[in-house]
Amino acid sequence: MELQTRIIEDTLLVKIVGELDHHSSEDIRNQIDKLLSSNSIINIIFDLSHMNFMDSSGVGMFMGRYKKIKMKNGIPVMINIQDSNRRLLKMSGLFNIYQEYKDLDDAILAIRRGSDE
Amino acid sequence: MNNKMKLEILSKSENESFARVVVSAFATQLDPTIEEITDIKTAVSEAVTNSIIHGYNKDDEIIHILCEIIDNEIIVEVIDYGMGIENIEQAREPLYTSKPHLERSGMGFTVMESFMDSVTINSVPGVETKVVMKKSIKSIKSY
Repeated sequence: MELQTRIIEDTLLVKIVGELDHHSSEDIRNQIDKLLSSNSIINIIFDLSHMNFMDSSGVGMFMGRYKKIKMKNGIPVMINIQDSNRRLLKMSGLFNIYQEYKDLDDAILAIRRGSDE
Repeated sequence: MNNKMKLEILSKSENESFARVVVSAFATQLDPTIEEITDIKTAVSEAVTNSIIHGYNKDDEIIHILCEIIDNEIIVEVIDYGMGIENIEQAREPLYTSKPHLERSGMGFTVMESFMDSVTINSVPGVETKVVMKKSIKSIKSY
């Protein structure tokens, strides 16, 4: 598993490359939370285009990051979701708390609109 | 077709990925679809993770994974010899977790039940906990 992160304005973009399970989620959680401790980051976008496996440990990781973003009054987003991951994301109710957008451009536009409201 | 294999691993989190890859490789004999393989991989990952986190909470204990293919069905048993489950009904409830502080989603058994055809749990606390999961593979070749 490899995590690629980038900060775009007040949004943290996180690309998960590889598998999200109990083993890798601890590492991912630590890396993200270090970046989220900065007050200038409000929103998070998870790019799932290269996440080729996830299980319920991953669900726990996404729920935990959702809580952190909500405390900042930010917007949690997922983009580029693969069909193979969709079933578990849906079953776990993550689509009720994360906004889904097709790609990064759509997500950034939506976040800018959301922040203006 | 009939076949069997047995895998013994240490309760290290690194082995979660190893175990699900081995089981899914064994299952390929049944010519499953990519979706069926994902289902099996995910269910195995849940069961092995449970043994590691809840059964042992230690990384140097033994987990056994037994797989059997009978006709077009794969049967996967994940066995640990750790603390066990006192209340199986409660453990099966969606969102129940005995370790909320660890950011667990509490969905392990729910995932196993939805991704496999059947899941049975037997546990003698402190002795043995066995999760048996079965799945019929639809895309069977004719032999």
